[in-house]
Amino acid sequence: MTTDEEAEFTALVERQSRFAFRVAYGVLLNGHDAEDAVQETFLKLYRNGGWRHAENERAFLARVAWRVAVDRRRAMRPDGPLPDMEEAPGQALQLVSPHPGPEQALVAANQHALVHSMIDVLPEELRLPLVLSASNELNSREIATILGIPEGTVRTRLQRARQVLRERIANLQTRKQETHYA
Amino acid sequence: MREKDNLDLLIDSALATYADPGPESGLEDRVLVTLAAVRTETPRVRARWRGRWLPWAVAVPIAVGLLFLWLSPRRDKPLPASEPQEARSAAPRAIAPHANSSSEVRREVPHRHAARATQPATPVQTAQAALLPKLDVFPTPQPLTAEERALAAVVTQIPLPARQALIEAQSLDHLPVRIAEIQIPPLEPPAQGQP
Repeated sequence: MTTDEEAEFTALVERQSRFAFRVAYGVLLNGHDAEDAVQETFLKLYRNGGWRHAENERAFLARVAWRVAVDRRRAMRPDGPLPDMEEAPGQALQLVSPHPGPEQALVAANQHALVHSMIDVLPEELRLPLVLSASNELNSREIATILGIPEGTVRTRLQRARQVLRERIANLQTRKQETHYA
Repeated sequence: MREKDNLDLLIDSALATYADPGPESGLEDRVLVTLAAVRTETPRVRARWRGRWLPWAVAVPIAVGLLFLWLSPRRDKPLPASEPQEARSAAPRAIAPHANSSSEVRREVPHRHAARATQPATPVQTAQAALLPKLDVFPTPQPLTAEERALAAVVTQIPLPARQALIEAQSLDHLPVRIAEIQIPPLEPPAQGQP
């Protein structure tokens, strides 16, 4: 690798590390594991040099990071069930949220933490498109390419994820009001 | 309707900070440190592997070449014991110019041709035939046998009448065989009083 390419790759790391972390976190739901996945992702890119020919930098990076994270989770849980992206909603793996529970988050009035905990417990097939869509530079087509599913499926899952989140937040707010007036 | 908008805004703002380690987390620095360690490690690993593979890269082709030479057919290899006696002895003796017994040679030449006509030549025979020199005259002139020398002596040394008588006797051999007519007299009845 030439000096210019080294500098270019360093810039890529500085530019996209946090994005890769978010993708890996969306799969692993653990900060340490996600960081390890990010390290592995950039090592892979550095060694094979595929980043030089990527047309869409973010989509390419997200695809690699997602693959690395999925492989890492499979290695951590060799016997555990893996979610199939084509499965029906509700059959996917339910991971435990590392954030405080919804009730505790509501009591603490930390709305973001509340939503984060709700995102964590979403089925993975709904959570991953939602996390990838949070970075505004990825559209439905790119998310579909990254996850290997049809674009229409991505849109459907995004709508469904938002609907689930809205319902759960509304239920919690209603319960909070009832508790307050009781 | 207004409540839904608020929920959407809340979800969007929460998503923007979801799983974001933040600029102060030092994630980029840690990734770059790991890469720097790999950059310094990679040339050493490559040199180590190159050092290990170099002897193999030299030794393996040599071993393959020696194996090929060992397995290739040897020209000076003797015929196996299972070969027929005629196949082993006929070819060299029939063509060799320094054959001791010309009668044996003449007797064995037809055998050699017959054997070649019916049986394919073995690789060893082919190799041996290739080693023998090619002669200008075919079939190769051979010295006269004892019978031929005796016949030549008879032809040149006996007197002319005897030679003609011999020729006539030989010409008679070609005539058809004549058998004299057989005449059997009829049997006469025996006289009375005789047994």
